[in-house]
Amino acid sequence: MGASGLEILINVVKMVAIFLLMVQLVPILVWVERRGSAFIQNRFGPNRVGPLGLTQLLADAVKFLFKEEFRPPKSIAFLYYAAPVVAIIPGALAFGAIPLSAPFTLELGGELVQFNFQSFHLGIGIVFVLGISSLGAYALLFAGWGSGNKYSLMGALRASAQMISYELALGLSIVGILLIYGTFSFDEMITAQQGPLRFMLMGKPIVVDFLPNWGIFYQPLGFILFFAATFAETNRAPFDLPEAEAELVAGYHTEYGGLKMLMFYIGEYGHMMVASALLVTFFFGGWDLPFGSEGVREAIGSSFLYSLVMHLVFMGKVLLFLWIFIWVRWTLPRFRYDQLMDLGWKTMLPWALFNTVATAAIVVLFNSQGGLS
Amino acid sequence: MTEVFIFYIFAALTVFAGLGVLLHPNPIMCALHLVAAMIGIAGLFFNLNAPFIAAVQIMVYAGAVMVLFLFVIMIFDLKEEGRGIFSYGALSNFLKILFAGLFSGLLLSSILFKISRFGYLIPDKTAPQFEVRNLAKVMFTDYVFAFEVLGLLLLVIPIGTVALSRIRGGTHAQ
Amino acid sequence: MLSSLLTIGLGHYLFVSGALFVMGLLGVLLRKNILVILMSIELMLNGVNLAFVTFGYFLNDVNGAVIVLFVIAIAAAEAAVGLALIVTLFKNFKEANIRFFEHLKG
Repeated sequence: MGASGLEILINVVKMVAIFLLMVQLVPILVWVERRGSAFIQNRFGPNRVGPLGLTQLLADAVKFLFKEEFRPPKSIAFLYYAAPVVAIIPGALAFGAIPLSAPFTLELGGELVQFNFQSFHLGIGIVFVLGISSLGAYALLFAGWGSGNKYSLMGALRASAQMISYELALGLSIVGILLIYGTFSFDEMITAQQGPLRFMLMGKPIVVDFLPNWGIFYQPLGFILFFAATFAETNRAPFDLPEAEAELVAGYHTEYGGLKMLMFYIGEYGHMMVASALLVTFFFGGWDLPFGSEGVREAIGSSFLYSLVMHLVFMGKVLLFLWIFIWVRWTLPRFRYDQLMDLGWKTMLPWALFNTVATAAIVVLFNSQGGLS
Repeated sequence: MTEVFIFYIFAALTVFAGLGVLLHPNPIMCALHLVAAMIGIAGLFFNLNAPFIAAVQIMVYAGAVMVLFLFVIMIFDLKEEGRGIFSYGALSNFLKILFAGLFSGLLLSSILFKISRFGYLIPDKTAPQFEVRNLAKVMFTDYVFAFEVLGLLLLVIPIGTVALSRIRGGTHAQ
Repeated sequence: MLSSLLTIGLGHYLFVSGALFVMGLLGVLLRKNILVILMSIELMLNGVNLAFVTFGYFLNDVNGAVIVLFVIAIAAAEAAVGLALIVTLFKNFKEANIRFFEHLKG
């Protein structure tokens, strides 16, 4: 096997590893969610199986595997079985396009080859991620129509209307970020966020030493809108109308059980991970450590080990946001459907438009290069 | 070589999905086939070195327009009636198919003519012709008037849509 | 023969594009469900888009891609209006067959 064969092998291993990373994070998140919700509600949560209830996950997995395989008689077989699969694919594809750490170089057959710490590298990363994750609505529609159940259908229709409505606010809220950085590429964005906060004001460069150069300081409104819209896109509380159990039994996955149900879970958590990773990349510097990235690089030396350490930094930031997702779910009550639509169309969309126009005006007035030196 | 594989996979997906739109009796399955066709076309765009167009195609068509279609079909439960999926009328159908056949013959011959004329073209794969910056440059200089008109259209369309969906009464009131 | 199958050129993409256009045309002419007719129009637009991008790629011309962006925007708007019309029709007549509407009387 030559150098190019080795290169292909490393890329394949990378792809599989990142997919497995995404899937393996799900049981841990389920555990965190159950224990965390119990903590918030002053309960114990699962604490019998193993230390801290950690092996509850294994018991759950066994239970999921051995549940009876069941299909409702009035369902449409193809759609019913395709829905859980379609639920996973968009999250996995979108997660693969986000850089999880610094690119590393390896010496293969005497020459240095650079690898990106992501499944596949695209110059138009953001548009790709938005486009692919918008396909997630099909899983809900498949499940809703394929189950042959009125409640499933109602849940699916609610979900698709909600996703289309909030996609607008989501897309518009990151236009400001695109204007500031002037690129679609995640890598260039992360590079632009390194170092201390610095920008041009009235032709004078201003440097704030104690703050990192993160997007949230340029786009606080964009951050709030994006953060709120991702809750609606992932169908999590307080926007979990599609599965409002008091009204719709369980929404689009009423008729699913066992492994198929688990796949919907993986899809939902996958969307949460994509959303958290996007938040970190746009507003919190991606895998970059705010101060001392260079020091770490010099202390470690090896490019691959440095990538792994930076990956831990990234995952730390992502896990923080995942915890906020869980925290919000168990503290805030659910919206009513008309309130949800009012919030999306009458509040978030105008503010996102305002943010876009204001950012464009500021970028043009103060500095043609945006907020970056 | 990968290019060839990608082309055949996505071309086959697109053509079969297109046939599904034409022939499937259930409108929901038609819409799903159309989604597959659009994803296939996005794959072909990727192959044509236009990833931005491909992503926009997926985001706008597959992500928004087709979800809207499915939404309408599902909410009104539009099933195809039993009398067959095609319009009736033997003579008119014969004429329609005849002229569609003539048209496709015209199309085929023009494509063959194009190949005989442009067949030797070797595209410059390194040229960044579809890069977003270039697209934006052309769009906001040469096509800026069209862009403004499009903005006006996109303002008028929601107003018209809302007005249509709020119609009460009129000559067809029941 | 085999080499013309293995080197993808202008013609291959144009065949796919033309096939899509003709399928959409047949759908518009032959199908009787209004929604399927609207979908067939989308199919025709997609075929045309493919031809635009193909020529842009093979002739190294950025204009092809710009036109496609315009077409996508207009197609989305057209779908919105078409669906609103269909919803209104369906609310009033409970009928999705195009032949039901061929006589211009209430």
